[in-house]
Amino acid sequence: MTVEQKGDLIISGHGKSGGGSFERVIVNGHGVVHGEINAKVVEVNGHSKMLDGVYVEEMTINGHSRNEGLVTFKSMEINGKSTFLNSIEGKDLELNGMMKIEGDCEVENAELNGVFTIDGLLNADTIAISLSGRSSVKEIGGETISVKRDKQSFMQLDKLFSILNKELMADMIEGDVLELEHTKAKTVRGKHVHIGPGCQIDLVEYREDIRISEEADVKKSVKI
Amino acid sequence: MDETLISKKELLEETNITYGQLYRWKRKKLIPEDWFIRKSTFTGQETFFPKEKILERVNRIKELKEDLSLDELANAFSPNTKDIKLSKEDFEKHNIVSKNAIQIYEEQQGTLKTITFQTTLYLYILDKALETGEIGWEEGKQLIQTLSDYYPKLEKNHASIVVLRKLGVATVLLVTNASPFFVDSKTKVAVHLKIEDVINEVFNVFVRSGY
Repeated sequence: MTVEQKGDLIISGHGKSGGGSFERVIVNGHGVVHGEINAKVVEVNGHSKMLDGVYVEEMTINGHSRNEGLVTFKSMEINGKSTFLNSIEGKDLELNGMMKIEGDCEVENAELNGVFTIDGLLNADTIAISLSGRSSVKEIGGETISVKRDKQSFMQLDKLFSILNKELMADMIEGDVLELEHTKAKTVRGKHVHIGPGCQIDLVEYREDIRISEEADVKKSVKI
Repeated sequence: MDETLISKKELLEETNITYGQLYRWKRKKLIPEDWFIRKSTFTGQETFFPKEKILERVNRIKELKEDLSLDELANAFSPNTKDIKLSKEDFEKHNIVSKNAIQIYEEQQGTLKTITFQTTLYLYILDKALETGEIGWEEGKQLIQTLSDYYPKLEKNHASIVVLRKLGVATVLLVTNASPFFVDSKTKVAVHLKIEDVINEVFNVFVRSGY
């Protein structure tokens, strides 16, 4: 078997590419890729727009990115702001910043620090969310799910403006071990459920145990 | 569709699996997306599954999980099973399809060395069609040609293969399942196979023979 040596795609400044198979894809500045990308490493420092699917092992975004196709990865780190018009699938996802996904987000480990909107399902084994703004997900499913507020607060501004409110909105959250804070949800289902301060939940269904904080508002809880 | 449904809650209780497992299997595509049926009930949104199918699938996953890793399992269940490759000898040894089917395939498409999942699927369909006794050697070739030319172009698996016969002349059709079809009274539907069903059978065969 012969192993073909693949080249790199490096866009520095302003550039466009048709896509293809690469060892590394690096965008410094502003890059637009029209076709599908297959690569080991994708790194964006600046602005990028990818109009088709991206299949990559390691993806790092420092800056802005917009992906219109499906993105699959082993690890992805977003430091900045990313928009995905399709679904993303992978193993490890780390967000430090802002993210919007119009499809589903299916990973093994999701560490989400910052603000995000997911229009579909967030599905991962472990989900650790640290909120620094108003975030929303349609549905969350997984094994261990924890939602917390991040520590810093800028002059308590979040108490004045609701837009800066650090809370998570979801239609449905399902998991085995749930630890929720500052979460507004219609339905929460789990095995071991801990509803912390700031939660507003219409219905909690639990299989083994439940703890509800005094600062939480749970309309109805049922053991199933 | 009058399938009996089972709610997610009942499923977890009955099969004794956790939310984590269910979501993981969904992610690994061990459970097809279209089995998740969302309905609103008086307690809010609930997810339902086709009862018979999901119970069978969950039990099979649980059975197999002991000797296969989850990724191997995913390869066994996912429709994009491109990783499965067998040598011809192995394939023949497991008696997955008849020798005739392989011979017809080779006459049409050239000699086989390794056999992919796709090829197995074609062979299996051919075999099933031959078994009905409705089609012969030449028509088998027609069938294989239709499948290998057009099946990869279909995006989903929701298709059927149909063989029509009129006045001794056979026509092979590959149709999507979305719409029913009707034929005139002189035409006979010799073979009508849902590819989805065949895929499931092939998986079962593969899994049973240890791939």
